[in-house]
Amino acid sequence: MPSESVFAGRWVVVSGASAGIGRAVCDELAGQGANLVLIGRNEARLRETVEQLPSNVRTAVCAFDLAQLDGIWPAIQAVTRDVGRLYGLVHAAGVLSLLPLAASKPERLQALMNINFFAGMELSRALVRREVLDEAGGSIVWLSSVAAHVGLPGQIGYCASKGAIKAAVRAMALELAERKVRVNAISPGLVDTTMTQRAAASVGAAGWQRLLDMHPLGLGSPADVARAVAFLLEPRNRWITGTDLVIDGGYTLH
Amino acid sequence: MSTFSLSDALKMLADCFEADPSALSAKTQRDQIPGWDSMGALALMAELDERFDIELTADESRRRRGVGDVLSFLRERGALVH
Repeated sequence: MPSESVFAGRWVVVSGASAGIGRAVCDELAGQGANLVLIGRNEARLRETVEQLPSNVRTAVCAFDLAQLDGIWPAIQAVTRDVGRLYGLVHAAGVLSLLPLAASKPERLQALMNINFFAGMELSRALVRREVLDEAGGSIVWLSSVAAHVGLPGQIGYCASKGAIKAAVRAMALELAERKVRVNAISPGLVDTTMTQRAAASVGAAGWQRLLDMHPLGLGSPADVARAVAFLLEPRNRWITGTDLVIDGGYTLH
Repeated sequence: MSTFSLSDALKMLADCFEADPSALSAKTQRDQIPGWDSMGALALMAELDERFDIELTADESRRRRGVGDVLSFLRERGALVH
């Protein structure tokens, strides 16, 4: 099957589509024949993503702040009116805050959870509404992290937010199986994005080198993750649900 | 950018390092503050980023030998006015 027909024009929502893994996911899915709803805060950057896509890909740009959780359903409702039913969701939006326990104040953890977890829940809730979801079913992929699998000092809130995804994916997969909706997660290791470059500055050159040394296959690229996202999302992989695919260049083998 | 006073700055540092604010002054050295370890430094980075959008890198942080160094850094970045 030619790669551009894998998704055969199905519509997929990608959050965090303006940069990093989200942008790479858009590239990968567009190359496999998906149409895309791009969500992110910055409209200009979302349009940059669109400009990089093949011209035959249909797109809808939704620029809003996912931290405003009550804006999610109206946005999905509006886009569905424009493009029709949706097949998939990739929740790639995320924030990484380096916060030791003493600095893990409730409002900071709430901000972290809002983007990493609650926004993904709201997007999932919107996608699977009966007036939105493709009648043949759908597929949801969450971006979790190796932080859901191992402890990382100074990242208690981040680990918790990614662990919440890991647990929620299993329950959601069971609950939605009857409706032919598959739900999976990807747990990447260290990926070269703007977000991780900022974190690199916070851990310092020596700390960053130690992290790199723990990835036997080196630093990952957004495209490495995007290929795995497309694999879990694609309709042919109809028997894969509730899984959490670790792709980390060997980080968690230690 | 918002700014704050010397006493606010000392309170912020005390909060980050879990120290008694009255025990801190511009002359206090890093090794006199048990909570100014790697996690305390991380807490300070988060605080500066959130309050002032100032990025203090780990390497810059490591060069700060005492409270006075941090206060100078805040003055250079325009966060501390006195």
